[in-house]
Amino acid sequence: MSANVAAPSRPTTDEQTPVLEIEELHVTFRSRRRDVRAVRGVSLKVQRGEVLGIVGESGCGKSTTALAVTRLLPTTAEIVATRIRVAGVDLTSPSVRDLTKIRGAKVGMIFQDPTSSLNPSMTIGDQIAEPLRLHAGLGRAEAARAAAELLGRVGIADAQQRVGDYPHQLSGGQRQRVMIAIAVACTPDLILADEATTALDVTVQAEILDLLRGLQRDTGTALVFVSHDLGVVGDFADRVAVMYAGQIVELRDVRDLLSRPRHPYTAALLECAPRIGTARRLPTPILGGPPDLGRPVVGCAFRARCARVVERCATDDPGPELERIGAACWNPVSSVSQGSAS
Amino acid sequence: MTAEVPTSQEQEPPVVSVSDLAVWFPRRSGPLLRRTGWNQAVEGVSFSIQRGRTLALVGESGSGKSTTGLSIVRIQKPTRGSISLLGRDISNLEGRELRRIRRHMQLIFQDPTGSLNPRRTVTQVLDEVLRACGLRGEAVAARRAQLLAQVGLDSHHWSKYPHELSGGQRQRVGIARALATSPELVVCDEPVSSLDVSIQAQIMQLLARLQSELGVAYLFVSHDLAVVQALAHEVAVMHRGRLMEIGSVDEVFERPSHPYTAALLAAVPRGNPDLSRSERIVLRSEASSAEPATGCPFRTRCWAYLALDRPDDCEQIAPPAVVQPAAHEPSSAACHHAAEVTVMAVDELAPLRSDPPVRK
Repeated sequence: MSANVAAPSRPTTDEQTPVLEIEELHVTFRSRRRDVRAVRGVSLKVQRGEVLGIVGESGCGKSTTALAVTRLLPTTAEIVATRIRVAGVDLTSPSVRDLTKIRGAKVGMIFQDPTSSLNPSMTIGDQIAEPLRLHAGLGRAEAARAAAELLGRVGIADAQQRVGDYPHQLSGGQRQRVMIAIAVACTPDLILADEATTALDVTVQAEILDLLRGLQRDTGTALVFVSHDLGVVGDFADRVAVMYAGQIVELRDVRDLLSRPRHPYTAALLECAPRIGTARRLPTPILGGPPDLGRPVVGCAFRARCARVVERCATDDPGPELERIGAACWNPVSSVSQGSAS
Repeated sequence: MTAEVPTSQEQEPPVVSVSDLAVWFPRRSGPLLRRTGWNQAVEGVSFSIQRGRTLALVGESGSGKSTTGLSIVRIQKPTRGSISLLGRDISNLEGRELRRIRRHMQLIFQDPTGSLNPRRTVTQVLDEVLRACGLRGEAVAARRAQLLAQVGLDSHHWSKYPHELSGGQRQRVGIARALATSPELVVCDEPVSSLDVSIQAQIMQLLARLQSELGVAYLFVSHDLAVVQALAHEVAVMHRGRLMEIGSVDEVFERPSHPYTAALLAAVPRGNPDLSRSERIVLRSEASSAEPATGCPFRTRCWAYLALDRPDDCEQIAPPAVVQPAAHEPSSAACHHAAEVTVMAVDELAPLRSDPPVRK
């Protein structure tokens, strides 16, 4: 960690202001046939040095939420929010200049597939050096030196020799390390990782998670870790947001959420994920499927699959309960006397 | 489905038996793409599966597990070795004879979208297979209805095209198609890997129920150890084309005897922030990729080789061949130091078996 690689603007926020603040985020994918409301009113805050996990099944809006922060969604996506702030910069209705200033500098991004996210015709050294030259104003030689150092820091052996390699010369795990090196190059305030280890073998996944955790702890960067895998998220998130049908249904401290889930969906998700254990048993599925977000959702979106459904679920949106008890539910699983959101 | 099969059944010949299977692909290079060597995708693999049982093949990507599965159903021609289906050697069958034997062994793929014809409805997909089996007229419709009921697909889905179905429903169609020929063996290649967890659990339940109803044997190829533990009876661990360890799921998961198996188990996310990963049981980087010519080929990645201070036998003597053990016997591993590995692994992996975190 000797690498004091180009970090002129590190603590841009004081300890009190969250690094990431999202209030009432709505994302609608518009098409001629119909509008799909992929994210329906998401609010969250991430503090400096904190790891927030976002989990859910495909189509729940977890990736869309993360990508909406840096506006990396297709043009058919309409993003509306009361507030989006990253490291003190207001991104609620950002200009192109705001975004270029933020992306790669204050927000680093890691995606699932490093093969298609890296430029195949640029050496990995140049790709790591690019943000350093653009945002940190380093010269060519300086940036190249810093890139080699970063490559070593993300655990690539013989970094000095490998900077001239192209992505196709690396294994999947090594490519993901390069992505991480690019993401952390400018010591960002926030890293958004979208299914960063999903395409990797478990052994490589374990290495990449260790690397991310180490970098995150060393630099105090806030990390938003989006994944479908509760096992991965449970390993190192401080808080976990569980999403279903475009909403956060539970948002609590990781230990509380895993040991005593409040939302029936979280509880069911924990039951249906196979895990290695002493008792060999088949996981319990959640019957049915999520609702069609192309149609308006009235009441609780999970009620058709829920065993704890009460009369109110059909009419009233349980969304406001999230703030109060950490779960958007009218009939939560563990008994809650006096609620306190985490 | 985890109930033990009575001993009388163990006398029956296995549904499938593979002996010294090898699949080599030519490695080509240079401007004329001359063959410069062989890529040993599968090398010296042997195992058998009894009726109504599931053997899982696990390993990292590129370990040869899928190639093994494909060569057993003879989609990939083996380079060497023998494959017996219901006691008959099928490794050299060709043409018509091969087609005839194929109805006894079927495949389920990872991606049901890619393996279903987008221009055919559920009914058309199944009817094609049923006609190929010699059914005609009423018999086709009756058998189709029976199959779709077995996999839990309601009749209003029968006239739909694959794109109109959800991922889980498509996989049900893939399973119905595989079962249409009443096979004795189904090779399942990552059948639940691309599904969401809630749907994954549904398909796992379905596969288990069908096995107990029909007595079909599964060769279950998967990278997901948790899925394998829930569904399989026996497990074979592959690394770079070779079997590292084979045994009952209970034995291999609780008392792994090969360092590679232990490393795979140690790498599984625990889903618990209070349990740190084992620092001792880690695979060494793939960077040292050249396999040594003598001794144990795995030792360049082996943590136990280092922990035991580079024993001479690892460097000089090829590891023992694995032999599939009988039920309740300890697993068999291609390792000179299996007993020591088990002791170290059991110690380090104990927290893996703990339950979700306790509230502080």
